[in-house]
Amino acid sequence: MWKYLSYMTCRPLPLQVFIALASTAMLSVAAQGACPGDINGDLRVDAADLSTLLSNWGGSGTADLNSDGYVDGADLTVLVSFWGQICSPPKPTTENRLACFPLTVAPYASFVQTFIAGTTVTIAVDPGLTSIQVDTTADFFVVAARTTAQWGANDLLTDVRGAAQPITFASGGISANRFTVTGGQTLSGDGGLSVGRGYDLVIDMDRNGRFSLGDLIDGGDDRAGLWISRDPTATGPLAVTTLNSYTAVGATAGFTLARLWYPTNIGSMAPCPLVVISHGNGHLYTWYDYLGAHLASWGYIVISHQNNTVPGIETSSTTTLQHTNAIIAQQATVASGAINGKIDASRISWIGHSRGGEGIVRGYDRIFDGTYTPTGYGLSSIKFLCPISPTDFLGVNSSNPHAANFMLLWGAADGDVSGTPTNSVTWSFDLAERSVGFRNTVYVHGADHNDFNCCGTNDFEGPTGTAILNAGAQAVAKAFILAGIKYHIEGETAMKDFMWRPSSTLRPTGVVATTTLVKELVPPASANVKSIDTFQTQTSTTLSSCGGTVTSTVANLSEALSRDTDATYTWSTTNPHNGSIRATASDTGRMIAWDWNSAQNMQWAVPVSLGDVSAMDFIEVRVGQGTRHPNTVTLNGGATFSIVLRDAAGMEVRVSSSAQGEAVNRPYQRTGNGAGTGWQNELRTIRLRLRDFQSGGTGINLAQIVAVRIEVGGTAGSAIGRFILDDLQFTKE
Amino acid sequence: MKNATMASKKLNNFLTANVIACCIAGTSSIAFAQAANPAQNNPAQNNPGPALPALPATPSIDTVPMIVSLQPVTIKESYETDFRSEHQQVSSGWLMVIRGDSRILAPRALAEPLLLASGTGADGSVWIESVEWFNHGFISGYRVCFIPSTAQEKSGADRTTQGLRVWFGSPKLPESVDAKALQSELKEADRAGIVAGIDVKVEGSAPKVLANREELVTTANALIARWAPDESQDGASTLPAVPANK
Repeated sequence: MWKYLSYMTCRPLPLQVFIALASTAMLSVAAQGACPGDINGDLRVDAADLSTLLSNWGGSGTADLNSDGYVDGADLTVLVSFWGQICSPPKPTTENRLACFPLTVAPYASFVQTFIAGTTVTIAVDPGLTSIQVDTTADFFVVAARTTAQWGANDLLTDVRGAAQPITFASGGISANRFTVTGGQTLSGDGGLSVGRGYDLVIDMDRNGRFSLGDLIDGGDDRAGLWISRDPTATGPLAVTTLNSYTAVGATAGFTLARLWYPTNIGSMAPCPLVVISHGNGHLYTWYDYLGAHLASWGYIVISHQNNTVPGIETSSTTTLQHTNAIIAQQATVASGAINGKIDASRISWIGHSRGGEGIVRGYDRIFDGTYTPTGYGLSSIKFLCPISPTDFLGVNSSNPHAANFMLLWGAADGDVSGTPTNSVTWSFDLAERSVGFRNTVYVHGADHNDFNCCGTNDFEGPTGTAILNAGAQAVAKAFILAGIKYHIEGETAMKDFMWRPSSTLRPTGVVATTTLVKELVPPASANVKSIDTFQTQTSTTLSSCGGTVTSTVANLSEALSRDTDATYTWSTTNPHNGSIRATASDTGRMIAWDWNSAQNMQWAVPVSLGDVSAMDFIEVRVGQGTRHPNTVTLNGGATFSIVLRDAAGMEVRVSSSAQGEAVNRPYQRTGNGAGTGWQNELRTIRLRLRDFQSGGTGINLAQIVAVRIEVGGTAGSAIGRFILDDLQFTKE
Repeated sequence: MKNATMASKKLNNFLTANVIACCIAGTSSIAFAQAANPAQNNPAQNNPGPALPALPATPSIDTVPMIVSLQPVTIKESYETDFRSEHQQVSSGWLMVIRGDSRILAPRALAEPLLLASGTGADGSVWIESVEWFNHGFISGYRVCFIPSTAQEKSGADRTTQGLRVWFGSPKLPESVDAKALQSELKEADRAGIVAGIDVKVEGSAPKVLANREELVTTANALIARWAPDESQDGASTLPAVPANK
């Protein structure tokens, strides 16, 4: 090395350089993005770079590493000091999305993360947003997911399928550049106690078997680009031990018994999060075996306890609190000490059914208000509240989930907590609308109140032929409660996909395809949310809550409390929020409603302060069809609409709501409480990826959005309809 | 008054006939829900119950339950009742088994009819209590309850069954009920024509002495095991453990 260098330079090298060259060992990975010495950009500092430097000796150019105008010994010093360095790959300025669900209409690909194991996986490349060349071939790799740091340490591409998949790009836009992932159906979703397994996707444009400049990557950050999920209704990987009952010390007399499930090999496991199940009135603690065993098989300690529900909600909440105290305190003696030291009391989930559902929310509220001090855990320990068909006896001041992570399950055929407009105690969604934390809801067509336990009364009140029975409802409960716990407790971010994606694009295998699920996802206010209109403030219909001007051509626009005011589901023009049972008179949740029978729109001006959405991922809105409204009845099916974004230069791009994969469904066709067919208004979150607005290289400037417009009728969507809407916002994944 | 008297006679005759029939035949002519299903107490699989019946209007003489047994108890260590918003201390009362209309006994998430008891004190004043209950009784038809004495007789004497009425009142959460609400319930009961039933035979010559509420619950659970075995939760602890799933 020294002789070579001396020869090439024709002058002696500084002694320091020689010593450095002779003794430099392989260094650790350079800081991300910092790789001096890598003259040729191959992410290595090696002989090739040295050759380039020496070839340019005395001159200038890329080998002038210190930018002093000359390629000389100083530059050689720099190169030597980084000799052998493996450089981190360049962080893509725009993370490429590759995994997708193909669509038959524009934008032709819905970029998503999660797929159920065994299903077809597709990728798509948008020629308008990448520099791919038509008729060129690249190698597509599916690699085990790596964090950013791991990518920095290792750029070698090793395909988990054994070999890369050649793909050839074609003309014809994104629809011509969708590729079925070979072997995608056999990608493993086995992530141990994770519900799935992550992969990163790389299109190796230069086919050098390494991630390098110019390659496309989905998953170059810490998020896996592709997540293959096992069926969350399926039993988990762990054997489960059940203790039929034990006595909780300190619980109200008569309500001391509980059932316990835990992983059989818990002795060799780290402490497990705790799940507490609180049953409803007239139910038994022994009626939730399906859920207890399921969750324990996925790594949780679960109890289901006797619940003091007959007196009411306060007593129900007390037993939830007492039993949570007790299992933590008694872990050394319960089950002969098998779970001693194994309860992670900092990660607790509370699941409640019916009065027990309101009870868990009341219990959380009592800790929040400081009127109850738990033992062995605190407010921050309660990571997840999941009421199933809860009552709302106590109202906003006492049954309030505050900022807890919250998920509501409710069966549309519930004949007990029925959602009748005549009795606000049955308005389960009141509790959801009070949440100011992360919340999601799953509205289950065809499920009744006691389908979520094994043995309660048959209270089904829905159209003949729509009942999904215990098996159907319990499959939904198993899947979504597990997804919620994994997301909030374990940080499995891919589980979020289950909370908003329509079933047509992501459905737990154990939930039959004919089960209609209507899903809302509302993230909490944060830097990841740019709210355009919540309808909570600026009550004028011409001003949004963010202060922007609102204009509209839609008919019968109403902005008000989301509350049915005439105790009947019969449509009436004097009750524009017919079917909205999401706020008692003391609540504050507001929404808008309007209808159309031709091409119409509603437009929100976006203030400059909110106009840079280039770092956001979605434009989203909660929307449902107005039950029993004449337009809804006439449409008699799913409703579609479009969202238009306009930038400061006047460029407008429209994307159909169909890009998410499903229309806004017709309300569950339940009768009663007035004339007509249809039950309470069902809202779903429609999320359109902002990338879709750039699809095909539209050139819209997401850093300068000045307007958002919802269009209906005409070419924008369904010809006629009535919408209830809320929470128009930009969000980050 | 005449109508009330006639109604009272009809009710007495009705109850008398049925109590006799019950005692003789061991069955009841009062229709109630299907026979108990022991599988419900430890289900290995789904086993949905019968249809949830519509709730009839209460109070009504049509839904007045029959008292099957009544036993006075004293509780040495008093406890707070959850069936009143005032949470009075309770140290005595009557442990009671009633048989009732399955439509009323069906468990509901929504407000259920209050179970109420009233009687006439030695000084002629009328007392009323919100009755605690330990099971619903939908399947069996029998509900085990406890009439707490939240107030002593002004004379200091123990309460008697004089003028005892037991009925289902307005649908409410018991924990929300206070003295004022109970007085309102009394008036509604009078309006509905609910009158005292036949003289109820009190079991035992002296009150059963219980140590505390836990013992009250244990005693009630024994009654549940007898009268409403489908709701016996103590039995769950004696069942074999569910085998591990792998």
